[in-house]
Amino acid sequence: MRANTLLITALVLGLFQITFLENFKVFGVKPDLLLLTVVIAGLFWETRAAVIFGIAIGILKDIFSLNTFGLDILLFGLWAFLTVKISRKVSIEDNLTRGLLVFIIALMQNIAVGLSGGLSGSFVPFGIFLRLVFLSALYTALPLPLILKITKTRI
Amino acid sequence: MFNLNKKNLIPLLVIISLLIFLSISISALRRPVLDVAKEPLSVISWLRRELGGIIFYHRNLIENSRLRKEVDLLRYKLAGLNEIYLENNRLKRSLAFKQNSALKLICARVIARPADNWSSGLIIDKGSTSGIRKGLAVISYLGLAGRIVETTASTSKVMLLSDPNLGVSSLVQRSRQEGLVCGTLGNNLIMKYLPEDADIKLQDVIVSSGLNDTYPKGLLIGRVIDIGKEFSGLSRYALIRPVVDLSNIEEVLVIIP
Repeated sequence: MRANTLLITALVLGLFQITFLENFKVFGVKPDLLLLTVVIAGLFWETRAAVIFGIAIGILKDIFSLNTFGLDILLFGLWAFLTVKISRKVSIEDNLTRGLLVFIIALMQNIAVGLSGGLSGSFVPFGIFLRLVFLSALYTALPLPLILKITKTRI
Repeated sequence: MFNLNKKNLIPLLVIISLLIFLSISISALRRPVLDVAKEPLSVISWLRRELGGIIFYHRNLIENSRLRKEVDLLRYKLAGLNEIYLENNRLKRSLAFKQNSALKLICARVIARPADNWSSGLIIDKGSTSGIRKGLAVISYLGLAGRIVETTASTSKVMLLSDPNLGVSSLVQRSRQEGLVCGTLGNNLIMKYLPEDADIKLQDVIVSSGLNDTYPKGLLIGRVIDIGKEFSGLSRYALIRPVVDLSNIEEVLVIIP
């Protein structure tokens, strides 16, 4: 998969995420399309390229966030690294398995961000916490086949 | 999976340290990027509004007819209130009442939202060149919406009331009972630190208390929809339905003190 294609896709999806996706929220939750591109990079690229891509996308996401600490810079690099390592150990060829991987990574991302918020003193009711963690992870995994199709047809 | 030896441990530690440094200094990166991204975001925001108008045509049609009815009702009420306002002004003058200076407002358009689900905010198209600075209160035509947390020359970030990191000192309009209104990331807000015997009822109106300089006193926040007891049993909380639809704001007003 070409670097340019995924990078442009990520930028477009990033703009989409901070503007249009507000109209497509389900139960107040929107998918994390930027995380999705990081996992795709981890699935198809070498370790170094995927991690650099993950960090770059993490910077992009943190620029448009309200947090003072750029947590996504660290997490996205880590997810890209883990995806590369996992995809080398386990055969991930079909979209269902890839979707499951995206779901698990999005779940871990949400738990990490949610817990870091909790540790910094911002209280989120447990029901809303669960809704954000699970629904957002599911919603992030669902568009994977579509994004893969878009990025693959551009090879 | 992880082949760590002394040779590649040092570069790894250097990279991790650099990443942590980058994470801490993300605020410095935001300014130039947001200034550059302002124009494309404005165009996309306009496109989103226009497309939304076409896609949600039927919903807008129904909402339009409902709003027209509401406008008629409000016009009728406003005519009555105008009389009271004029009378109030006359009485104030006659009592030589020192009037507070009127609020200076800056109108701004929402151009983007945060990329994640764990914060609630807006990015608006006015920044420090328009006189906006960190800490100013943001309202809509209906009531309090949030607070400015970051500004660049031409954009600002607003933390909305629904963000759990934002707390507003507030009071119950009827009984003057004080509490702290915080966001929950959901549709409702939560009013905390209410004593066991707090005088608060369902449908009570909650307004800002003006205890700190950020929010002027009396800004409408919402209505009480539920009252409960904290897990500790020492205090109570109230769920507040905000008057401002925080998930659908398109324009905001920034209060310049």
